[in-house]
Amino acid sequence: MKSRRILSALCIGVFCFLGTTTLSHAGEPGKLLMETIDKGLVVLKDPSLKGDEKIQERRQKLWKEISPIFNFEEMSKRALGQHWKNRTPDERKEFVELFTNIMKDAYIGKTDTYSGEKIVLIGEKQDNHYATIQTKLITNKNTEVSVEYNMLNNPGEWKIYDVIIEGVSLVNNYRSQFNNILIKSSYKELVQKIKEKKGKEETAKK
Amino acid sequence: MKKFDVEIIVGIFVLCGLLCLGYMSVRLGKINLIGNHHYPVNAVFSSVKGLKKDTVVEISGVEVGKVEDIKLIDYQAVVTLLIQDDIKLQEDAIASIRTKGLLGEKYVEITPGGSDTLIKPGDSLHQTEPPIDIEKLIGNFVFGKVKE
Repeated sequence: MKSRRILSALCIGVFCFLGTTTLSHAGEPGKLLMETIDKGLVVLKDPSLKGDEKIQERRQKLWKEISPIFNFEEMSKRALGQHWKNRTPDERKEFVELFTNIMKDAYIGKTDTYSGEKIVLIGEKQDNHYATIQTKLITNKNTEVSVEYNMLNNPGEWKIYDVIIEGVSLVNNYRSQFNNILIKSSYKELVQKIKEKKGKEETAKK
Repeated sequence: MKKFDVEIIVGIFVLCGLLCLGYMSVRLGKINLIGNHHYPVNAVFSSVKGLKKDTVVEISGVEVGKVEDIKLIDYQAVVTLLIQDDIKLQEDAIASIRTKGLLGEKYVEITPGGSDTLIKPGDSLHQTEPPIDIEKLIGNFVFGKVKE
């Protein structure tokens, strides 16, 4: 039970940032990240969107606010790793869509259990067009979880390409899973598996 | 005449011994005599807990280099890896510090990326994973349980 709660807290942490975080020592990417997550928090805290019956509306609004800061193409590319090169432009486009859906389904639902977790900015490092923003998520029971956002500046815009929670990289996690599947079977089978998974989840929801 | 033969044989024997000693020193001391077949790559980690110099660097479990140096720069651990010349790393390759087995020694694992841009000697890997702190995770879990 406890572990499930921590997991939910982690996932909220991926998307949310507390409104009261100090903006003073944040540079451009850090500031952008916080502003976006503040917007997400406004949606989560909005009393008119609370309650089980408003779930879909809340999730949609939250997704609209936070998704622009994620570079899903870069995430998909990095998650597929060495297998990305062999894909045709059409396959790439399809994979980005599938991967975006995986992210959406895996994390947006977890924010339903948000109950005032705090997130503190620890530091920010910038190296050319790469930036790392270190944060800490503090749960209601004072358990601290480190969450690190890796951001990339692609022409004029800072966007997240990886999230590292307690030292575990989201992209690397998917990269090793996809690689394991692609070593044994073809790319078509991977796409099939992802689609089947989505199908199963949707029937489970109904 | 006979005495001369014995001296030559002893001389050759000693020479062989010295050559063997020299060979073993080079092998055991891992001294690189004939040029460098490795190139350096930096990787910045938030923590390198348990990682030591000369640790192996692996891709898919195959050794491709070693840890040359670990420095603290700006309160972050900067690890210099020496990678074999014939192994090309992409810009989006990920360096992770992993443990052999549950309590085994630490090593660096690189998962190759899909970017067309390759890492040049002396460049940095931007995506890294620090070692997972099992004690801390167990601690969090235990304290959580006690409180609940």
